[in-house]
Amino acid sequence: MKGNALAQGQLYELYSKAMFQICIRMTGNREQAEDLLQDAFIQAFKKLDQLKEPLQFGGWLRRIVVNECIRHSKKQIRLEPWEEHLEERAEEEGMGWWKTMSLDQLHQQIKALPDGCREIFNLYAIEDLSHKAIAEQLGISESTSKSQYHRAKQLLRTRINTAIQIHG
Amino acid sequence: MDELKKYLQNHRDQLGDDAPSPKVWTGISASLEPAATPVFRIGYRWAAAAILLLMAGSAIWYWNQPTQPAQELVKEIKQPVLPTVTPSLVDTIERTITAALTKPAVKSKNMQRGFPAATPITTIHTVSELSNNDLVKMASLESSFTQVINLQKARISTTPLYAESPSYFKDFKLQMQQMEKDEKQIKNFISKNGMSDELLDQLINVYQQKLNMLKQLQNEMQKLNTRYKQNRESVDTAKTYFLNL
Repeated sequence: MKGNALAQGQLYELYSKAMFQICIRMTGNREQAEDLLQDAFIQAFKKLDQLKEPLQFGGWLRRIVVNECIRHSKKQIRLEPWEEHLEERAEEEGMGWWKTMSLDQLHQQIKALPDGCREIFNLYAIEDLSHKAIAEQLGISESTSKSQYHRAKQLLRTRINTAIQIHG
Repeated sequence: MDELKKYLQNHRDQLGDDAPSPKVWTGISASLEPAATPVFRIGYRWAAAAILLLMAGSAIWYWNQPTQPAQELVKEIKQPVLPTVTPSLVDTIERTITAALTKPAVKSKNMQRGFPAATPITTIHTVSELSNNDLVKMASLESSFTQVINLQKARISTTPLYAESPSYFKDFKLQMQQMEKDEKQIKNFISKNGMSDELLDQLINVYQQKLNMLKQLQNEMQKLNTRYKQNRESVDTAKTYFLNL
């Protein structure tokens, strides 16, 4: 399949949109997301001969995209110090507040999270990486990863509640 | 697993509906275009054109050397002067390619001798005897492409880089070296076996690939610099470096 422009075009058609969601959620910025998507696909097509099981292409590509996003984040990650209060953690879980808006609106709010906690939130909650793995890949401590995740959750909750109060 | 995470995991594929712009695919397909791989086929029909190209290239090179006595000598014997081929590089390249692909060159005794003799007068004589449009246009193929390529290389080597390290561009360098090898191989083959339509195509193709690659490299450098400037307040001059191609 390598070198076959038609096949590459078809694979791009099939997967580009889903992969773009990862990039745009991680960067919160369309232009950077497009650059990352492009780099990830180029990398995937160049390494296509390393893929042993063609049916696993989607998962394999997703890992390349996530790694590309991590590489990008690592270069510029700046985390605002955040002091966590345990009682806030309990509140985060209450009432399923994340179900009070559509998935699309939730996605918009995730994209709008501040740099640093946004990447950690995505890697942990959506890409299902452990805090240990996130810490290793981003070069931060595990506790920082955890606290930034909870910071992101709190921000999301506050922003969603505010949006609901404004728009009803 | 916390509830929010569980919820997002279950709906992961329904999150978001953004689509990338078409320029992403354009960039991907441009990067994946295969580099020119020379295919050697012996062609004798254009043997004359090959030698003409080499002779004319050497003559033009000599003509541009600032040696006053040789130029005076040329004036004295009133040899026809080669036309200046610099109206526009792009036009020249296009016309050269068209001419080279459509008109077979005239074979002469001088052409069969290989490279011109070392003395300036002989060189000018040889070229003037062979002087025709095809000769000049074919000779300008190499010099025109080389000029554009060198210009592009100069732009790259004078562009400061703020992000990544020189090793990031290793692939570009390797590709460039490979293309230079290809070019040398084709030229060697032409000089030994003569020119053919296919070889001429291959040579032009290698030049075009080199130009494309240099353009891509320049774009990548600009992209890195822009990204760096967007994310940092000021440039760290201690980490700034230049690429040596």
